[in-house]
Amino acid sequence: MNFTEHIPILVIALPLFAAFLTPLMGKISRKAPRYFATAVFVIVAFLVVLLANMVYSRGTEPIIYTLGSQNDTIFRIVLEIDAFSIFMALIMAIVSLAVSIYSWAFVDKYSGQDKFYTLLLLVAVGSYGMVLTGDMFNLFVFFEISSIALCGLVAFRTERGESFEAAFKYMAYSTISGLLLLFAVGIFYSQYGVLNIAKIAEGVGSGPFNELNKIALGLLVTVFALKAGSVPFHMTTPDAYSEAPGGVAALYVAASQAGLYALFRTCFTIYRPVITTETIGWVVIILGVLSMFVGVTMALVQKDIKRLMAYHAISQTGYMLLGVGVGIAVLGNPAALDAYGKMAMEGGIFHIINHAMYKGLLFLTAAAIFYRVGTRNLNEMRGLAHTMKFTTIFFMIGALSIAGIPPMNGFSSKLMIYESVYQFSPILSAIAMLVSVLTLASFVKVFYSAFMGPKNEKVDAKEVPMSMLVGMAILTGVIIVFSLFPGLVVDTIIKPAVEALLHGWPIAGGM
Amino acid sequence: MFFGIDTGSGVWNAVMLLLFLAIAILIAFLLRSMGIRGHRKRVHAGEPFYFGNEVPESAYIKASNVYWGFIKAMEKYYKPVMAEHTGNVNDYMAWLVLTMAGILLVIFFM
Amino acid sequence: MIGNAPYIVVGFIIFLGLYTAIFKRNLIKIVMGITLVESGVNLFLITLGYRTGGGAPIFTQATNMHMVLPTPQALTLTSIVIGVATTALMLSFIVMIYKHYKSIDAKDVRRLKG
Repeated sequence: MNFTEHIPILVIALPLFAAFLTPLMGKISRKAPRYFATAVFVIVAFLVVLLANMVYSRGTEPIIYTLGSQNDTIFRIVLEIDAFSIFMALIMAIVSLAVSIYSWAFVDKYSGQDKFYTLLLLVAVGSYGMVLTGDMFNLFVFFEISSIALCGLVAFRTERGESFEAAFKYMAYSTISGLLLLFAVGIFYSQYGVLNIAKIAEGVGSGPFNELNKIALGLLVTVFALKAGSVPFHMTTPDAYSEAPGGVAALYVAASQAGLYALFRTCFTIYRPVITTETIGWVVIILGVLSMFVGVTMALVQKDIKRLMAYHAISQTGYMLLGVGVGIAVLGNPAALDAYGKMAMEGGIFHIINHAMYKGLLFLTAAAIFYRVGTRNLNEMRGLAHTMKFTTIFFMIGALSIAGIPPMNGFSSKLMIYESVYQFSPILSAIAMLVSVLTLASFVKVFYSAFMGPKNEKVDAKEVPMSMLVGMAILTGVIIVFSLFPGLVVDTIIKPAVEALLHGWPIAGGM
Repeated sequence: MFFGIDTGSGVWNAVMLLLFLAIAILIAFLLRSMGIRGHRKRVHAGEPFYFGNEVPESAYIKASNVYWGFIKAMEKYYKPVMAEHTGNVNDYMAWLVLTMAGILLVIFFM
Repeated sequence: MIGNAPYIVVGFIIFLGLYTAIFKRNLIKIVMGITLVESGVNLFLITLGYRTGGGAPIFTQATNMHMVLPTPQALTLTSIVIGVATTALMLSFIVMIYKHYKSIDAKDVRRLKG
């Protein structure tokens, strides 16, 4: 038996198995679950890198892993991995590793650490599953795993009523959307008798764009936009982000981006042949522009630091929807696709990884402030830069990056979006720039009120413990590398991802 | 392209920017070193001053006060948008169903 | 016409569930609405699985060899299991919300807004 052949399933199975082993580790000692879970995250990150190496060496041909016998592959449970899937898995690998190390110190004062790490591993399972699967029904199952585990994490601090309120609202939303996703899966099954995404795509492409497929497309766009937290489905997102304990909000960013993955997979891989008009592209663009604008303006008036950042997460999701939405809009027009559509998609997809890194970092710094100051209210903070020097530096790097200030990585991806979207529609590009300015404004507000000013003598705001600094430093390191070498990143991981999206999936293949 | 990206209508290179920034800072320091020495260091510089008294808590500008003018000027936009974020699960469900209906209508009839 | 009856029932149940989730203020009733949507979707999957004249896909004591594909039943089982988990989790959230807020009215449970 060849080990490398089974890496795709190990990426999902290993954390799943480890998740249920973690409570047992809790019996050994109080600190065993955290080291165990982090070790698993390290191994999974290593496996993802190995898998990425395999995927990139194959070009646009995806890896198809079949569970069980290799006959009749379209009826079996398959994992289908191309450059875009592995790109999302890489994001999850980096963020989950940083969050698990960060949480060592953060959850130390809480009871039930073993359960915390179990849920953390399950979120990773859900996200890895969503991005690696080649099967519509498994997409639903992993969607639910990730939602349920995230809700459990949001409700982790049982002493607060608000955490249950946020968890309930998010749960109600994601359950309804999961059921709508299942309904869409049923529609596909009724027509083609299969659940394999590649086979469904063949079926959709072979006929005219019939009514059932239109209903399924509408449902899928709604469901995945909700998972990604786009306006107007954003209402529960700030609640859940702000109530999630500590670093979980950073993991939440990466997990909600699995929704973006599924949305783009639906539009490109399944519906590619029937999208000939700009309609569906405009739906995605309008969702994106609304998210950008409403998100950033709502962020400007917040006084809870994590809520403010959560609204920015919504706003930044808008950039990705805008960039890739332009790509979807020009799908039926190969000349425009080559001229600026691909560049817009590259910008949007580059923004996904940038966003996961800097927004993850910002959420970690916000949680570090909460850890020391004990409040999330910006009105009650001041002068933290005097004592929390490293946190201040990390916050500055994250804030400059999210505001798109050169030379940070946020600027590179935003530049790609501005310039390509300008050729599609100048007004959209102008809105994107305006939103970027407002983003900077609201982070100036956070920086001013939390870090600047004379020291607050009443609060003992020491620097946070080592493990939290290491968690933040991992993400900062990635941001700095991405800032200095954007060309390298675009060439090695972004362009193959775009090519993979445009290329589609073959029906069957092998390792 | 190892360092930079080419967007088709523009070029971006972070390393080049940092290089120019370093040169600019070097020139600034050269100019500074040509200045007059013996500058008197100010006492109590940068410390909060409140007419010689202890600074009361209310004297600090809080986060809620920042951008007050902007928010006041944009009140027409903010009032309805803030009012939509009711915190009520029923309203959220209604938004979900209405938007889904809207998306389905657009896909059907366009 | 009679062949389409299950689909009409599916549409009706899902509509009823969404209506409950939107217009009932009691959180437990909202969960009931979500469960109704789930039942509707499950019924939809089961309906898809049936073909006229097909038998149950049990090979050992089959009377006729025209069997339906068991995939939709398997999907429905999985979906029911997930539904149990989500419903239980939501109801336990409601219990905890009641402990903290002393109310399960959706218009009282809104400390997080804006």
